[in-house]
Amino acid sequence: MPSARRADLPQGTLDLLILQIVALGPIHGYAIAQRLQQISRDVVQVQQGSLYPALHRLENKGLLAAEWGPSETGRESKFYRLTAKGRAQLKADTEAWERLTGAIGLILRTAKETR
Amino acid sequence: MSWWARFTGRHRFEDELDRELRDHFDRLVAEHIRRGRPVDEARRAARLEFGGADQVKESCRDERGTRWAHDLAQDLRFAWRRLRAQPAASLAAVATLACGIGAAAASWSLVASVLVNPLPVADPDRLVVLGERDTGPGATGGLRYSKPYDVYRHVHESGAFPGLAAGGQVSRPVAIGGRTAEPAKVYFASHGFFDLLGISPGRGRDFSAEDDQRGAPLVVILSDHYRRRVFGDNGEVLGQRLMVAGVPATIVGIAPRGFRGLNLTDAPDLYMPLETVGRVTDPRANYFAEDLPTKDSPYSWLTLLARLEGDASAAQAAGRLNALGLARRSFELTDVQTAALPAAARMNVRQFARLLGATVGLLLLSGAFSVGMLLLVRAESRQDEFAMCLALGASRVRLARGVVLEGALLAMAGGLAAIPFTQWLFGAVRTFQLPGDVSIELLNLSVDVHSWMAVAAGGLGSALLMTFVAGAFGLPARRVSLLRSRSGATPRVTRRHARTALVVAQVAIALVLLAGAGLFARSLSAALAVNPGFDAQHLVTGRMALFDSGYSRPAADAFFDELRQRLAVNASVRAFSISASHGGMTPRGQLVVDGQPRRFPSMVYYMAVDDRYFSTIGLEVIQGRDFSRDDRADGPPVAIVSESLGRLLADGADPIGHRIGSPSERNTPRVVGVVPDIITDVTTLEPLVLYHPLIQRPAVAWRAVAIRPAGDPEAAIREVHATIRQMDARVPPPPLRTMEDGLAAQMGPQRFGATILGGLGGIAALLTLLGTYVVAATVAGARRREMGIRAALGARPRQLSGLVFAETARLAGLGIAAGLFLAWLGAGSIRPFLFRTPPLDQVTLGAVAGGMLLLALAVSLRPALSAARVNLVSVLRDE
Repeated sequence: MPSARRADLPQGTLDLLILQIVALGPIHGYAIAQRLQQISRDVVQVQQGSLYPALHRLENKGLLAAEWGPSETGRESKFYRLTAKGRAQLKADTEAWERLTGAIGLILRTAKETR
Repeated sequence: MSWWARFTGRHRFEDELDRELRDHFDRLVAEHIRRGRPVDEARRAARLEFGGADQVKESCRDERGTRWAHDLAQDLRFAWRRLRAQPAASLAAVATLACGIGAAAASWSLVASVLVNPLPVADPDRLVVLGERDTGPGATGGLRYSKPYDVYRHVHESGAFPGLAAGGQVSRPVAIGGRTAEPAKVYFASHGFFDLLGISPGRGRDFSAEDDQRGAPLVVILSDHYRRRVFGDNGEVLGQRLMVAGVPATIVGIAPRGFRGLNLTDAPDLYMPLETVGRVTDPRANYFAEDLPTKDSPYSWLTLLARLEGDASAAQAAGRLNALGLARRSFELTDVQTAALPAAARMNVRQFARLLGATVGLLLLSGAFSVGMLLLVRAESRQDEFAMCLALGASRVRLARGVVLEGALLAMAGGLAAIPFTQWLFGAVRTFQLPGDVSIELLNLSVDVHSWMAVAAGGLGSALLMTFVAGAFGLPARRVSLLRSRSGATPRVTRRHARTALVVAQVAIALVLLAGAGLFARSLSAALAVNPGFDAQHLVTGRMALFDSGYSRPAADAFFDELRQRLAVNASVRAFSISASHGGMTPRGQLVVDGQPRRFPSMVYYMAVDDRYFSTIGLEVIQGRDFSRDDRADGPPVAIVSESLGRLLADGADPIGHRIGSPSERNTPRVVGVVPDIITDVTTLEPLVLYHPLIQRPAVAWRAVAIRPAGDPEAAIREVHATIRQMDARVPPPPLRTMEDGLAAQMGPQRFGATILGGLGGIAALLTLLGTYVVAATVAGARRREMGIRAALGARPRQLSGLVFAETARLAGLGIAAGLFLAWLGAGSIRPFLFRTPPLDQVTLGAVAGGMLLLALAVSLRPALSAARVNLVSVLRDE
């Protein structure tokens, strides 16, 4: 059962994940959700109720820019792309995340070894 | 995207959000179809997976950060619609606020331009005027600012001040474009005068060093008020010529609009270079104080102005200047703003400003109360609606915001409407004078930054007050119980205390303002009745200064003799007399009475009068004799005293035969007659006057003339002016007016007070009546059921209307009591402006209180009558 393998996203990480996905190239909202699910092998599933408010939040902050354009199905879709500000934010957030996870991993490993 | 773009692009946003979510949904459906589901099933699955689109949209809207603004805009639209639904009440509220705010803005401008920033010059604190303390016998101890030209030259040459300028004002006949010359006040200013003040002409140029030479072609700079008065608002005046005392001069500049000279009570019309003063005045007048041809002391006519250097204080600079020992004078330096308004006048103006401020504040308060009451009544009538909204889940904050916004909209509209009202007010008060002879017209009031700030503050303050009133008392406390009680039970007369307090406060305020107006009006009429039995209406007086026209004393005497002879045969002049005031003795100085030094409680004025003076002005000698031709210059010195002086000097006994004079006189004059007191100055009610024969007191070159016209005073004034012009065209015709006008002019502040307080009090009274009516009507409306039951139980209509009247009378009575208490508190602030009227004058207070009560009862007539006609059946049917 796939739902058993799902994990809740820690607070604030959704924005980081979206920025990382969008960094690969202009992309619409549906594809972002698909891509998150595929890459995480169905561990991360984002509901529309969180995805779109997050996209609008990032757009208002100027981290993402959006424009309407033709998609692979021939219909018009709203494509998001990273702005320069977004790229800088992504870099900073990624580094912070890696530092944090590294530190947490270190604590867990060290604590396990000294047990 | 900027916040503003997001705020304004709301419709596009909604449209795009809709398209974006639909796109997502369609892709989900397509995915399910791709996995082999039928279309209907695919759509159902997609819908399940997608969840509620509306919730997603709401969350997205929240993320935009513009929701509060949209809510606000929505509330504003709603408030606007509600205000529009009751146009009469809304307009009344706006008009009320406009009056209050406008009056506040206007009075603030007035106060600011007289007290806060009287002189629009750069860095006025560092600009000082050179003064000398008036000492010696009979001196006032005040500072004298006028200096002769040689002092200016000495100070200038000493180099004590790198920035020094001098100027003095002279009245000169000025003719423009072939018109008859009119006297104008010409200020002769040294080169660098404007520069020192840090102002440059509004148009044209400043005087150059070349202009300020004795032989230079004449140039003038017009004051802005003179340009507007003479040339109108339009028209090119630069380069035009005018004739100053018959000499052509070119207009080279116009002083900036706000600049009105250095003395607030005497603003110049024109400015000319100092060194050219000799070209337009008689050479004999000797403005430059050079090798004096007569024994007259040098003419003190210049004000010396200097800018303090560096950090030097005025006292330090004065010390350095006095160390130079220039002409053995000892100077004191006063800052230019203080010198602009004499100390006494400054105090009067300050008291007056306080009074005005209190008045305007009360009006604004009254306006805010009545608007608050309108909002309150309106909020009460919406109780059901509020209760319903609360029951449906609206937040109390949102409801309160609606009420607040209504108040804010009213305040804003009131503020906007206040601007034209303020401008109108400036026009209306233009002709008045402030205490200390400050002419409001010269203040050049306009809606400036100060008034804008006052308007904004007034609007904000009243909005807050209204909001507090309506918000605190208007919102329902219990929602469900209110809805539950709708059926049948008598609605409670809610928040009655709030309304009662508002009406009581309004009545009190209106009472105070109207009482103030009444006191001023009484004081005005008292001032006009100061000289009973004295025909002030048919007595024309004025002063003539021949010195400016180059007359020496003997020449002036000859001139006045000839004028008297010519007027003696003029049909429109019945009597003509000449007098001169020659100072007096202050209460600090001593006179000599029968060889003994003696002090008097108030100033003793010296008047030198000719032998026709008393008969001309219509004073009968009540004891002893009048002056006659037998009182010769070399004869025994004689004097006539005013009744009050006579009583004091002889301690109530007969003053005739006593001797009174100043200590410097070798031969003290003997009192030969007593005349009644005559009040020419409303601040001196018991004038102590010592009259001497003019012939025994060679006076200065200016004289006072008194004319008893044969018929129309105006015709006599024209004749006198024509005669003077025939005798010497260079002499500017003196300003002449009837003594009644003269007394009335001294009462300028009282006239201003009566008008302003009367006007504002009238507005406040109207507001109060409106408030009283609203309360009487709502209370009567809320008590309809009770009245119906009383009627059904047999109460007569008169008893029912009596209930309404009693309620009104109770409110008005409380308000009147509060108002009388306020009047008692404020009595001190109005006392200095009242003339022979006590600040708690019983007649005035009684009349105003009675009037308020009657009016309050009158406006409750309609609610009372409708209460009397109540019929229980129709009340129950309505419910």
